[in-house]
Amino acid sequence: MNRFTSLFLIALWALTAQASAQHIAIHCSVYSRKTDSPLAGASIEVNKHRATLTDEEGYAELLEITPGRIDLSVRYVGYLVYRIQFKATRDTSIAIPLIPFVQELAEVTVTAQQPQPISLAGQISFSQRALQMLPSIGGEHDVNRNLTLLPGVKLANEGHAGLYVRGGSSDQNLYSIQQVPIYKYSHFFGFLSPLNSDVIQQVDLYKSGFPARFGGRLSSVVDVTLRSPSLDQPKIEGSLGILSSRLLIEVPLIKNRLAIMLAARRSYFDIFTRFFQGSGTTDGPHYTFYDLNASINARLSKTTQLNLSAYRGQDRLDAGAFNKLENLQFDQRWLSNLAGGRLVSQFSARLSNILEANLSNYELSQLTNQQQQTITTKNHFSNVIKTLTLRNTVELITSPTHTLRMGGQAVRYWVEPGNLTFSGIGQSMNVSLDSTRLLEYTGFIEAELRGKYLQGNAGMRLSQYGFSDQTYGVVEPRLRVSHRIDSLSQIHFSYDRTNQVLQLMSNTGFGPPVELWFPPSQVVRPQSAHQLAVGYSQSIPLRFHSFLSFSVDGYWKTMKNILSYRDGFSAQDFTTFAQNNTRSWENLVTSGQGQAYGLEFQIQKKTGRLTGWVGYTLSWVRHKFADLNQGMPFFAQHDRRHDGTLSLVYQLSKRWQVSGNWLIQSGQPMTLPVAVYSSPQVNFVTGHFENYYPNLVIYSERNQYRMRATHRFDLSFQRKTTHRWGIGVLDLSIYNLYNRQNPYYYYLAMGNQLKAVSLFSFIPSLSYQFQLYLGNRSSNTL
Amino acid sequence: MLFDQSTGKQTKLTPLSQPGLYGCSQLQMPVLPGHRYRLLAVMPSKDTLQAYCQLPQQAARIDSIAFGERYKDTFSNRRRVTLSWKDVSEADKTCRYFIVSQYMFEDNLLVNAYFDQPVITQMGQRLYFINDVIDSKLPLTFYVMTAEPTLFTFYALAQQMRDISGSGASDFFGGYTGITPTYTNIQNGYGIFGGYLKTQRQLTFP
Repeated sequence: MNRFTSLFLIALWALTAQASAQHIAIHCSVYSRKTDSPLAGASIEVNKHRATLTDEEGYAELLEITPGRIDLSVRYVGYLVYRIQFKATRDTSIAIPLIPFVQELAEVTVTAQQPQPISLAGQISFSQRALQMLPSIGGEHDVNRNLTLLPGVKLANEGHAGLYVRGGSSDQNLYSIQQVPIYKYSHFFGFLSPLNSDVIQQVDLYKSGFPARFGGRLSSVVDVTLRSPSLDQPKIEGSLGILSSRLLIEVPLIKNRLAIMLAARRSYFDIFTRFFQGSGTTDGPHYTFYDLNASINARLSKTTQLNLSAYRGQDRLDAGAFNKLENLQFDQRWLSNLAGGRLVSQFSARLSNILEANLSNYELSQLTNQQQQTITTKNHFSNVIKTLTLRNTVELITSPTHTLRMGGQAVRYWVEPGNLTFSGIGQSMNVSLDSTRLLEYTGFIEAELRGKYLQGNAGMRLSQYGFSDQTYGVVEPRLRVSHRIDSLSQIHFSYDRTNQVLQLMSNTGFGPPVELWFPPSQVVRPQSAHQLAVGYSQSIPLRFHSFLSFSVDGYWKTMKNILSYRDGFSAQDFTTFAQNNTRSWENLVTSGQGQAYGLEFQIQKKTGRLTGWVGYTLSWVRHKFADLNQGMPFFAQHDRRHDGTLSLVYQLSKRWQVSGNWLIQSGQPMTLPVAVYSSPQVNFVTGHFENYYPNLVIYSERNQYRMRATHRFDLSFQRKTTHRWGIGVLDLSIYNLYNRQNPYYYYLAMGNQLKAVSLFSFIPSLSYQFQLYLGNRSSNTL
Repeated sequence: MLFDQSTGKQTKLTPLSQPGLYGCSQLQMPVLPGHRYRLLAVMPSKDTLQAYCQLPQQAARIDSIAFGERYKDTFSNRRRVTLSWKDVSEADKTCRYFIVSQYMFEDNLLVNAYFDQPVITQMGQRLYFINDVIDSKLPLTFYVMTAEPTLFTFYALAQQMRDISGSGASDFFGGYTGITPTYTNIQNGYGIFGGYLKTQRQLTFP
């Protein structure tokens, strides 16, 4: 064990060893007396100067309380205020039943001064309520789109899938739904999130300071928690839009014991394109996506809860060309299937256990079917990854300010980089390329400190994986610390060591995205990274008890064994029965190193009629491959020197809300021709030079130039209406209001003129969200 | 200067008809399977250009050539022709293949060359080339050029460069999926020094 690892173990010990001798902690469990269900978001106030909110399990803890007389009050919308006074000399747990009242109140706006909590280094969280407050796109309060408005998070050019966090590539994000990893985390070529926002309870983004329980990716964690179906009343909500529609149903099957949630979403693009199809010789392209969510919540006992969840999402792109002689069809699908179970057992107020088992499958398939006269040839390619995970986590609250979390997991990977089926020429053939099974064992331990002036999480993650009769081990120390300087300012520090076993290769051109997952091999080693981050945040008091939050963060990240296609190769060299199809995929790629660093600034206003933030990132991402660009370093394709965002929501009245996003970023690096030359043509039969190609080009160094800057403004109006049957929200949103032609790719036109092609221009959309009254009106979220 | 490093033979390249082009005949320097060649160009006040190429150990042999029934398209009668041959790649040396076909008119030669990869389908150790050709009574000759990979890569990239220069981004579904960099095996220069072995089979439709 090296010296660095030892230092982390000492830090971990130090965080767990601190004791709080002079203060006590109050643990509260808030639930509805009518339904016995936990109440999330209830406000708890102690001695009129300390306050907090309950989590999704209705649980909250107040630390650093002075022993003695406790004056505690609990408030929750739709329930009577609960007040209790008692004397406490040691840590105390209290269950608080709230009584609902039936009188419907008029809508009120409450403004209060909240104590400024210590924010955690590198972590940003959105609750569903916060998501609903963010600007919508096509009626969707889309998670991914909003994540990309945050400093340090970028979306590639329009039409390219993936999030790029602090210089990492799109495969370096651990995107999980209920702790189940999803390998394709977008719809519509990266434009939309993989699941509809109605089913989301909370989204946690970690840019750095990763808790040790997360692993397997280099650059970020996006942890999506689904909302638990209500155990006491049914709910129906959804949205009708011109781009897509969605529906969510929650039904308690056994009151206060068992409930189920079903949600579905589907796009309409294919219906429109088929409707407007002419009688020409081409069919399409048609594009569609859908996703389905199901979740079952069962309260097995007062201390044990079981949650089962499932997800299925598919994107499909198909097109055809036909005439009297030929019928050509192309069909590409991206399919994700997830299923997971989570058993939470609360053995005592201090000790709990979480047992999880989940499956995650991803398949990309391409089918090309060519029929000419009576001869039919079919070429089918698929890239498949399946993972089975079994994980157990024990959480022990050792003191009011310390929590110890430890666990282990076993992951089985089945990776089939390519499965090719060809039929034609009077025969058929099926080939499976480089199919690999991989077993990974991981143990982790985290020590969490939540002091008044110091918060932190120190952890260690140990993984061992084996393939090809060889075993490899990785050690990942993690540390994040936040220190409150005074009541308005704090500093942060974090260090992360991360490893990534699986590799994703995406094509870099303008064609439909082809994302192929590959296992590690003797040649292609797992990726690894170090990241150091420091930050400072300052709250600036404003009038009417509101605050402006200012933060600046700096990071430095180095990456090893990152992958790129070799010059001249692309996914097509792997997905077709071409000349090289028996060659290993390892010959198509090459590995190198990456370096990313930058500064992130954000000013945010969270309360009042006007909320939102201004963000700016100054960053660099450089890659260096021995086999590319003659071994010289070059800017990565997702390098953006400047990235600015403005995201604002203004509550015009009780019913009207207007929101807008404006973003601007430097252009994408690209390689361009720098010279034109002539070349003779060889007659391969005679071996003689014959004709000349007069206008061949020589390209620049890799990514030496940049596309023009990208910017656009999105605007959204929402009007809320209440009816006897429920609540409705009419949403008019406009993507790219001033019709900026942002470049998607460039090409060399006739006369050696460089031309740009844009994808998404001015796109208006209209949607209507609804939520039906089926029970307690106070639980509506719109 | 051109050197056959396998035999030690060398010859000087002489100017050809076009300015700046130099060459020699196979009588001066025969192209032989498995041989390694070195090219050297010395220019006053310029860096010396140098390149190497290693020819495949053997040429692929067309072992089957089949054609289908005649059918009519907009302009002419056509037939589908299928060639097959065995891959002659060695364990550590991959061979790549060009296909060239030609009709022999009385005093005119029409040549078609196919460089794109997808038209040659590989299943196991066998490769197939399928193409629809004009149904003509003229003799049709197919050539399989067994090339070293650098030469093939150069021509494949040159094809991509021509695609980009000419039609640009017309092929949305992925004929071209990445920026093509300059590809060369010439030290201190640009271009390619490569070789190929040629086999042929003639066909005459009934």
